[in-house]
Amino acid sequence: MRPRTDTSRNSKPGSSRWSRNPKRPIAPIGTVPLLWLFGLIATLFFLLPFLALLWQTPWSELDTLLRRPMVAQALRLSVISSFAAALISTIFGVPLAWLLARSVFPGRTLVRALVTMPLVLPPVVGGVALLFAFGRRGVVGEALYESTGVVLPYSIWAVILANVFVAMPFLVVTIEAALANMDGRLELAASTLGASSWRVFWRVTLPSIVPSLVAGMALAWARALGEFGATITFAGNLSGRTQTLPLAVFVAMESDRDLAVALSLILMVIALAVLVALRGHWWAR
Amino acid sequence: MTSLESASRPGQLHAHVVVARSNSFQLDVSILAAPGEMVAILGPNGSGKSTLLAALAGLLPIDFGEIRLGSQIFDSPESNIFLRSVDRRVGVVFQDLLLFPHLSVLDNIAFGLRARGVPKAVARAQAQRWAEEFGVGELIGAKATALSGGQAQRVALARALAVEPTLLLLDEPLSALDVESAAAVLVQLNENLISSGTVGVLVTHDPQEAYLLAETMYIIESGRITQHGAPKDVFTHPATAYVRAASEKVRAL
Repeated sequence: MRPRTDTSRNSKPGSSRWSRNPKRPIAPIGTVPLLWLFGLIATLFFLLPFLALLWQTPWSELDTLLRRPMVAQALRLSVISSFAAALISTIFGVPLAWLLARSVFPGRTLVRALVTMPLVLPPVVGGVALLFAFGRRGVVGEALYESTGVVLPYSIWAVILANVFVAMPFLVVTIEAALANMDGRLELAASTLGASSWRVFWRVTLPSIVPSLVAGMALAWARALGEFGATITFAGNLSGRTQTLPLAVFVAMESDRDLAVALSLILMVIALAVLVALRGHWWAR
Repeated sequence: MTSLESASRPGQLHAHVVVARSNSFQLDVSILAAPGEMVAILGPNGSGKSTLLAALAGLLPIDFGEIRLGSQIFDSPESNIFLRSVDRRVGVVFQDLLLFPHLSVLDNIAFGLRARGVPKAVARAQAQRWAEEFGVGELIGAKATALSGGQAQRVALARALAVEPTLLLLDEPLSALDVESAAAVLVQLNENLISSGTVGVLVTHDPQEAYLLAETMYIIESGRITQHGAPKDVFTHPATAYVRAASEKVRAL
């Protein structure tokens, strides 16, 4: 990404061959059999469930299954809430990542730990915590209800909040790493040209981390799309109001397995589409 | 500070820069440069060149001394004055050039003008003129990453000069150029400095670069000036072992 400097006398091409780009040895197929065996088992472990799902799909009835109103409702809710969550995560997560990466303030380590919490916390616990904070009897929720009459739980806003809670950490972690790794001297160059700190951020910092921004947004979005535990606890499972696709799959498993398979298929297709769209970012190295 | 005209008063550079980097190393140098003059700071790696450059650019406050251009005080710890880069009107050409990879050549050159509040159309028109002056007029639409070393160098110079700095700082400016393209750019640069009265300060560890570019040369070793004068005089009467070795490189020209 940086301007060419390889013609400078300080870094003659080739002089840093060993330190910078060591050529990795290629292991021919079958060498180190134990590693191959375990690697193969791991691959099968990922492959088999998808094959089983495709095997179980009632292809002939798929069309009628997917035409049910609750499918469209769940899909619509999932799409809206996951995109909204990704957007909100970006608007607040990028500044947070910037603070964590670029400034020193008391309690920074604590803030970083706090942001990382939802990554390791069981989502159900997150949902319970959200309920105690934003529920009608919650610390913030009660004041909100008494002053404005707004009740968050069991609404689409609760779905979105639950999604943001679990998804934003992915974005923050990705962006913070990108900010820590970017060439800070570009920002220096911008400030010597007279750019204000805001302009440096907006015109230099942000454009420099666009690939990570895209990856972080996609991760956050994917996490929000699949969110289950925090959503069902905080937003409930109201068909047509807060029942997202993953919740619908869960409910359908109890009563209508074919429907569950069909809904799972939708989620799989969406996930696959994201992977393909982002192949340059993740897996086509 | 939005009008480019008001602040462009050429003046002499007086710099007494003292920066304590650690207990064992302290930079303590004084340099003088007349308007339109190009001064070279020549020294080995680790002699304090980069620290001096950062202090002049406003990226690093000095601990003691004073940096003044004409009547404008850039940095004076004693009077509690420290102007940031933006208020100093310095132009910096970095060794690695540091062109913005996501911007076109035109927008790279226009960056400083836009940062100073010049409207986009005006800034672009001016940037176009600077691009033409430095022979990269046909490349204005290209991404900065698509340039050759020499072209990138010209763009970096045009970008630094587009804000009409009163002080131009150059860090190993020729390292990306071959000799022929260097000569043409240098003539251009010298004309520009003389006509605008801009002070040029060039920092390098390459004696040939100092010899070719500067009218006055300061030798810096371990944070101190060990010799200064016209490059020719310094190289014919070397005062230290470092200058003697440097003069042999120049003689090879």
